[in-house]
Amino acid sequence: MAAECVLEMEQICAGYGGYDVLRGVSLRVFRGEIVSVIGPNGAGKSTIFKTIFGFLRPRTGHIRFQGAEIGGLPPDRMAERGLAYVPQGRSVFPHMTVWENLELGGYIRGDRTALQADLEAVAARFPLLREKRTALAGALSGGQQQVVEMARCLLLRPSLMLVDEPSLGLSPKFAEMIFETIRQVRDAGTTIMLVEQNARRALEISDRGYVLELGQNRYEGTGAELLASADVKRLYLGG
Amino acid sequence: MLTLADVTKRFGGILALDGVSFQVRAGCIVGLIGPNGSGKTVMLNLISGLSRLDGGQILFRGDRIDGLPPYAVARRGIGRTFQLLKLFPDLTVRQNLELMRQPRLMGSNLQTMLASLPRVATGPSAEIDALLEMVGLHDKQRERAGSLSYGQQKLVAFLNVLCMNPEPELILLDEPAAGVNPTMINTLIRQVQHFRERGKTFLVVEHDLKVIMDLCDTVVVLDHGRRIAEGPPAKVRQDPAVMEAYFGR
Repeated sequence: MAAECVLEMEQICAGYGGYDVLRGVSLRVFRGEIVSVIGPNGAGKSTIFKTIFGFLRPRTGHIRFQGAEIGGLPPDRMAERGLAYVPQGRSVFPHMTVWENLELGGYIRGDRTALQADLEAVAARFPLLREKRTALAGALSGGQQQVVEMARCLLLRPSLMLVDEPSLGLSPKFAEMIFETIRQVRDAGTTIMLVEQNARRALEISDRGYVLELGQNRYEGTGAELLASADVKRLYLGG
Repeated sequence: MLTLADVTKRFGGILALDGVSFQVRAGCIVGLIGPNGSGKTVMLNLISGLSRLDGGQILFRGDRIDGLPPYAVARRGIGRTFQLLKLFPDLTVRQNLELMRQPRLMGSNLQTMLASLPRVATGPSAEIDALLEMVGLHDKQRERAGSLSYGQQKLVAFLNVLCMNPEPELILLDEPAAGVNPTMINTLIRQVQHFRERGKTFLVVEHDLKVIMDLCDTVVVLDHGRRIAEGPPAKVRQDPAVMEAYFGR
């Protein structure tokens, strides 16, 4: 595949208060892919996202997003450049309506008319958004909120979307719906990087995956390869 | 051991639990499952005394416990974990566990509790060592609990309830596996089984299918505040109403 490399992390060390959580992590994401990062608790999966999005400044190493060095840029700059981040845990504005949440997603965009069209397009893709348009986002179920969050991010027209544990705390039925949504979003042209503890399901929908342990690369391969690997199964997928 | 009889809870106009009844027998592991918003956590809150019921009764070993404040429920031998984390983030992992082991701490006032802090984390405890070892957090014991990843904090919360003093007889777990790595979930399952063999009883709210299927003796399914099914996990898994409401596909 000669696809364009959207994101490249090279030998990244980063962490909190002088302690490195990431110890030389390297990975690449190509346009149109779903790439999963899996690994034990505390391996540094969420820290990767925080570093890419600019909440953490890498101590060493390079991060290139669409060819430009971004390591150390603040989150608002990252959003402007087309990077979207759906953090772990619920992050809708609970006291605003679903529609207002969506409108805020496109807040930094200058093209009001195009934004309106995108709003309608997103609402057409996820019927839930139309149905619950005037409902307070905080009154939706966990799975529905997760859909609002992803739709809100899509209004940035991101080149890459970072999604952290979207299935957390969701019933099997809603978790499945979320994985299906992620696949649809990718099929519609958005590149996705996914962190999941539901590692098996994540790898099933992923083109490629990275296994992280103690802040270092441990394995990498296609979703199918990792799912078939005896070591990965035993160590990270629960056998 | 625990009997829920016609338990009803309203929030304004919303009927969160609508006359739910079931029992948890001593030495059993009972799963409480259902869609998001079906009333599972509300039920745990009622049992642990965090909120009051609007109808029905809760009996623990034959005595009514509904209406008791949380500390009194805990003293009678019911411990719980929370879906959202309730650790002391600025204490170390080990201090969190040792704090739970302080005798008569539960129910004492905040001042007494805080006064006991300096004495916490002094004595060696083989039991705490073993617990930390089992979830792979032994080398993190001196770190601030708040500095751990979400999944690791979930594991500490699980250990916390096991460290309660007096030891709980009935343990309520609210989504213990959420955010925990699949391999560690297996460890979690083994540990719950181990403590069951030592006589503990569990009521577990969980979405992880493996935990539900491998761990639970019986599963109670809630939907819109009502009990829609109850039985062994393999049977409930095939129940058409439960598939529709919960499992999907």
